[in-house]
Amino acid sequence: MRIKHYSKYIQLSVVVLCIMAIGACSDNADEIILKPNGKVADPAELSAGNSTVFMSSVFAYDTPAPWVTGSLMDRFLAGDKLYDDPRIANQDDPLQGGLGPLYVGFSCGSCHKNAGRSYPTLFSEGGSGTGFSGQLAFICKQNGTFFREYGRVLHDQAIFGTKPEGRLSATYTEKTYEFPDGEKYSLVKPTYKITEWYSDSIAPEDLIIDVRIPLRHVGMGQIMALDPDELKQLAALSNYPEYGISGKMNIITERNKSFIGTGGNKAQHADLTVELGFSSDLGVTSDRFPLEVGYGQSQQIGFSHYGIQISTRDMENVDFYLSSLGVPARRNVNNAVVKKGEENFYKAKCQLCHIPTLHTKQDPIALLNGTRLPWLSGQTIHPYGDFLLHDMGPGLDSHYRSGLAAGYEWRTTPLWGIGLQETVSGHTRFLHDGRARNYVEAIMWHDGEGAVSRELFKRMSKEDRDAVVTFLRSL
Amino acid sequence: MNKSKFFLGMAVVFTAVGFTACDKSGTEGTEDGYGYDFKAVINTYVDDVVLNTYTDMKDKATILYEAVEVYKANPSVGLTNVCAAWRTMRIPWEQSEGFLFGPAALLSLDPSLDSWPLDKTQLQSIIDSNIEISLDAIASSNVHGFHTIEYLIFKDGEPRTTALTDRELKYLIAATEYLRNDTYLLWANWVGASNITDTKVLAAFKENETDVKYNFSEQFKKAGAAGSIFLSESDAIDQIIDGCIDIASEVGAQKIGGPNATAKQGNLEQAVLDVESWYSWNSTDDYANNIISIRNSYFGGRGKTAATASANSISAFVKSKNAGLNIEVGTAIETAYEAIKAMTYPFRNNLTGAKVDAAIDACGDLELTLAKIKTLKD
Repeated sequence: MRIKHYSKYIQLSVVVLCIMAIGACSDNADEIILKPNGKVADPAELSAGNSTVFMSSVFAYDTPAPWVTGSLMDRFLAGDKLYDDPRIANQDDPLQGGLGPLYVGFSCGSCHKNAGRSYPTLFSEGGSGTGFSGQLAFICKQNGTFFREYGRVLHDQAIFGTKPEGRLSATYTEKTYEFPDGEKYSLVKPTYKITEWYSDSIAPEDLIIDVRIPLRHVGMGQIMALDPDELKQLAALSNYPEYGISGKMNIITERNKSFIGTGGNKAQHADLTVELGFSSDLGVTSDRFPLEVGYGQSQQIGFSHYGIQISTRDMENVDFYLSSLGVPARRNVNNAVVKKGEENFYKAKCQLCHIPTLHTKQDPIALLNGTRLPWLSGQTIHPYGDFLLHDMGPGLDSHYRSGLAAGYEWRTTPLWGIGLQETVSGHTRFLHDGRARNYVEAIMWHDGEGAVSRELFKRMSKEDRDAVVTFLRSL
Repeated sequence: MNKSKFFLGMAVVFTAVGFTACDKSGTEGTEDGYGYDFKAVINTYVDDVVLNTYTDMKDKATILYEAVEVYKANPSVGLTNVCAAWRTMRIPWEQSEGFLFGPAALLSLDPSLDSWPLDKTQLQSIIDSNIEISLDAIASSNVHGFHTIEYLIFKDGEPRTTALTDRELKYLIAATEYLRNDTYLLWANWVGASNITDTKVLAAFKENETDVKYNFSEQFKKAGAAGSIFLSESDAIDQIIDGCIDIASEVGAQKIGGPNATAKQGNLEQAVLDVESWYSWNSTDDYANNIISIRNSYFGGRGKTAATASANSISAFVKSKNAGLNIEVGTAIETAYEAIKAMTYPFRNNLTGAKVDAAIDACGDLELTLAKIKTLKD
C-alpha cells in the first residue's frame, strides 16, 4: 500500500537564490527561485513563494516544500505516515491503534488521498454506501443546538460491535438553464436524508444536515500563517456596494482566546484541526480530546475510555506535515488563452473575493506542540481567496451555523491548486458538498454576493467563458 | 544514512550580492517540456507495462479465487495451493506499485487491496461473532485485502497446517472474492468499460452491479489532447517518473526503513509488526518486485532490462539526451534490486545490519537518480 513518497534523500523542487539587494523584483523581494531544469521561475508561477513546488502529477499536493530537509524531513515523513496509515481497532497498538468505535475515516488520507479530495460515496453510491464513505455530515436541531445522542457530526462508520450513528443518503433534482448564447448547462440540487439512526430517530423537519466533501489540503501552512492585519484590512475593504459584496471575518473563540478563522468551508477553524480530526473523524483520543467521540452514548459502554491513543508530539508531526506541504506552481502562465482567461476573471470581478495575492505574517507560526516554522513567514503568496465569509445566496444555504457564519455564508474558497484537482483526485466536484460537477457549474452556483460575478461570466461569449476555465486550470 | 547523498538532495540556497534589478520581460515561458515525441513511449508504457501487469494480476486473482473454491470443497487438500496462488498474485501487484496513480488511487483500491497494518482485532471479533460473513459485512469493517487473506492462510512463512474453522473459511472465501472484485475493478478502469471481454469479469460485475468509471489508458494515450488530465505528453512522462520515485522512496524509507528504524530504537516487537507481509515471509520478494516495477516502467515492458530496452521507452528517450544518465539510471535500478535480494531472509528476523542499510541507501540513490531525468527538460 502506498503510504508516502519522497524520502529524506530527495528534494528536487526548486533552488532558491537569495538576492541581497535593493530593487530585486521577484514577488518575494529577496528571492529568485529556480525550477528543477535550472530556469528562473516566473513570479506568477510561485503560488506560495519558497514553498512552491513544480509538480503537476498526482502527487502535486503531497510533496514537501523545498525547505523541508534534514530533521525536518524526518518529521515530515513521520507526519505523512500518521496521516496516511489506517488506524486499526486494536487498542493496544501504540502506533496505529484506537480507531473508533465511531469514526468517519480510518485515516486522514482515507478522505484526503494524496492530500486531495477522495471521491466520496455520496456520488458513487448516493450516500453512505456499504463501506467507507468519505464525506462529512454536520447535523443539528433547527435551533442550532445539537442532539444529545449524536453530537455535531454524523458518524456513519463504526468498528465491529458498534452501530454507526446513521446512514446518509442524497437525492438530486436537476434543472437546465441556458447562457445568452444558447449553450445549456444544468445544476443539481441535493436533498439529504438520514436513516438507520442507531438510537432515537429524528424527524426530517427537526433536523439540519450540512454535507461536506473533503477539502484540498493545499497551502495549509500558509493559511495558518496569513497576516492577521492584512485580513482585517481585507475585511474593512471588502465592501463593494456596486457589486453587492461585503465580506466579514469569522472569529473563533477557543479556550478563552479569540482568533480569526481561516480554515474550513466556513472559516470556522483557526488551526489545522489535527486534534479534532483524530478525535471526531477517526475516534482516536488525545490529551486535547481524551474521551471517545461517542462518550455518553448508551451503545458505547465498554468503549468509552481507553486512555490516550495518540500523543500530542505525534499529532504535531501531522500538523508539521500539513504545514510544510508544498503548493503546486501555476502552469502555462504565459499561454495566450490562460492570459485571456485571467483578464476575464478580473472583468467578472472574481478577484474582489478570490484575491490573488496575500502575504504571510513575519512572526513564525507555532504548531500545536510549540514548534515554530519561520520558513512560512514573510512570503508573498497567491491563494486566490480572501478567507472571509460571504453571503452566497439561498441556493447554497445549508441553514447550519458555524461561529459567526450563517448557513448561507461561506468562506471564499482559495483556488490555488484547483487546476490539479482532477489529476490528484480524479474528479471535478466543487463547492462544499460537491454539487457542482465542473468549473462552470461552480461559477453558476454563485449567488448573493457572488451574483454579479456570475452574471458577468454568464454574459461572456463561450470563448471567453472557456478561457476563464482554462485560467482556473492553470492555478 | 549516506550524508553526502542527503546533502546532494537538499534544496540549494545561494546568496548573491549586488543584484539591483530583474528584467521581468526576460522570464521564460512555463510550458516546460522534454522536447521529445513521447506518443510511442506512452503507448508502450500503457500496453506493455501497465495493462500487461494488471491483466496478469486479474488472471491471478481468478486463480486464487478458484484455489479457495477447491479448498472449500475439500479442506483436506490443505492450503498449499491457496498459499502458492496468493504468492503468485502478489507478484503483479507489487510490480504495479510503480504506478499507484489512476484507478488504484482514485477509487481507493490501493488501501482496499493492500491495507496495512492488519486490523486483527476486528477480524477476530467478526470471526468470533455470529453475524453472517458477507461481502457487505467485510466492506463495512474495512478488514479485507491481501493481508487479511495472508493472515488466515499462512503461519510463520509456510502454509497453515491447522484446518480453518468454519467461520475462518467463510471469511477467507468472502475476502478472496472481495480481493478478486477489487482487482477486476482496477484492471477494468484502466481498459475502459467498452473493452471488457473477460466473461468472468463481466459476470462478477453483473452480479455486484459494478460500474466502471474510468478508461485511464485513454487518459495517458491522449496526453496533451482534449479530455486528458495530462496537459502535455511531458506531464504524462512526469507522472510515470514520479510514480517510480514514489515507490523507490516507499521501499527504502518506509517498507524497509520503517521497521529498521524501529528495531534500532530497541522496539523489536513493534518493528516486526511493521513489516508488511510478515505472516507469509514474502516481504523481500515484495520489495524486489517493487523495484522491478520501476525497471519495467523505465525500460518499456515487463521483463525488459538495459540490454533489452524497448526503443519506445523512457530509457531510449534519456539515452538520446544523455547516454551517461541512462546508464546511471539502469545501474541504480539494478543496484537497488540486488541490494534488496541480498538482505538476509526472512527480513522480519533480520531487520538491521549492513545489508539492510545498503538496501535503504540503494533505494535512496535510485530516487535521486530518477529525479535527474527531470533536469532534461528544455
